[in-house]
Amino acid sequence: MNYADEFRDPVAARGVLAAIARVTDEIGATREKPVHIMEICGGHTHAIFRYGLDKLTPPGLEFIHGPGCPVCVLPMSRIDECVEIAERPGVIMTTFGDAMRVPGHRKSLIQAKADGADIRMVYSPLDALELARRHPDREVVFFGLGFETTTPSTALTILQAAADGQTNFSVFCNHITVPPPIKALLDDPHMILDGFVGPGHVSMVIGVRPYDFIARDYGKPIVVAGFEPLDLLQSVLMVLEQIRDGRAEVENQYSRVVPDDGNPVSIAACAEVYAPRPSFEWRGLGEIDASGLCIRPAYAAWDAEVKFGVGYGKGPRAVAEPDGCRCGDVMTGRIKPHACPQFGTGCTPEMPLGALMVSSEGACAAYYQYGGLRLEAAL
Amino acid sequence: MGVRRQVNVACILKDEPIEALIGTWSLIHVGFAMSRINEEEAALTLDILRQLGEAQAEIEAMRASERMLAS
Repeated sequence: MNYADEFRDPVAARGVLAAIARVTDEIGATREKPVHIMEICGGHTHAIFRYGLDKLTPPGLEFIHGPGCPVCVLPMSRIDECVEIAERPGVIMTTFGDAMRVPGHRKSLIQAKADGADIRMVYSPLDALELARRHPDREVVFFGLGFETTTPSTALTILQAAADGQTNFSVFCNHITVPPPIKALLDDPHMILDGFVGPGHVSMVIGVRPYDFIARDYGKPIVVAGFEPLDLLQSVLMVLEQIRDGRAEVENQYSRVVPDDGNPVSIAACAEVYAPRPSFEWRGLGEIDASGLCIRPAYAAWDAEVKFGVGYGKGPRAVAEPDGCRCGDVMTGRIKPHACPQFGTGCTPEMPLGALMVSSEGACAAYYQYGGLRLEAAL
Repeated sequence: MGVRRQVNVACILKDEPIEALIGTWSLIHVGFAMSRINEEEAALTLDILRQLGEAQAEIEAMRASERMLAS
């Protein structure tokens, strides 16, 4: 057993798919009047397209692709600020690879690198800290990006830098949290959602209790899901069963990885290092209250915003999206990716115009890569 | 096979020596072990999935039987 292959078993999938078809029928959902389930996490969006799950499930079930791709929701102004820091003399900017091609207003990080800025891809923030140790004469900045899955690794790296007195290391913090945008989506009167597939790896850190409000206050089911095809199918079935039975509960399909209370060490490290920002801008969704994290004053020495005077709200705000880019409409479920006039022509994974085409977790890139355009057109 | 890499295990180490982790599975993300795989829970989930498959096989057998009787 390796805890992955077992959850890709096609024979077991057949049974779950049949149950999904049966329950969708029992709900009375049809192609014309489908049941809408949002997978919040970009990892789930990717898995749905990679395994073609949207083609295997009945037409009465429609997936709405949520805002859970951190690269995709990053506003252009933050890329601009990151480029600005990276272009300062003496700086080594470090970043996860998927942020390199996100378009900024002036340029992306990869364009800045081509223009001479010292920008390096790292696998872990610990690698950025190691780089700082090796280059004591340089300022090493880590482009901290991601949801609760990734926030603890950055927090623990800052705590390590503080313990080591490594002061030529800092973090440009763009970490964001999942529950506030879900609340914003639920408060949007145009949004028609019947239930959620909850993010598995975010939940292994924060646990399942932060989703209680979805069931309690909004009466919607949510099932925290793993990332193998069987995990996703089983979770969808659990959501559908709740809808059929008129229940709204927080359930945990991914219990082999997600403890109900999350990971206490991670939660404590994040509480120590971060404070919520009053609000943070999400590409396509706008400003959302208390959805972003900043570094607490106690760790200001490792906060790139403080060190370089490039702060949230200090630069010009609301940089317009590129002409014709409809990432915002895709992200809120108003249109499918291929309904954007730029899809596949002015915007491709090689030359992305909008952020959803950049990351493999973005809905547009998934559609492009796995042929959503061709298949949907054929149906 | 695979990749060798140093990871930080602070998040998954309970009140125990580090050797206690040998032989366990963990989910690794950006250089950090984030969660230990709970083998009992994994087995329970697989059981449910298996039962769904068996139930489906039974339903199909029933349907086939009905079709046979109706013809």
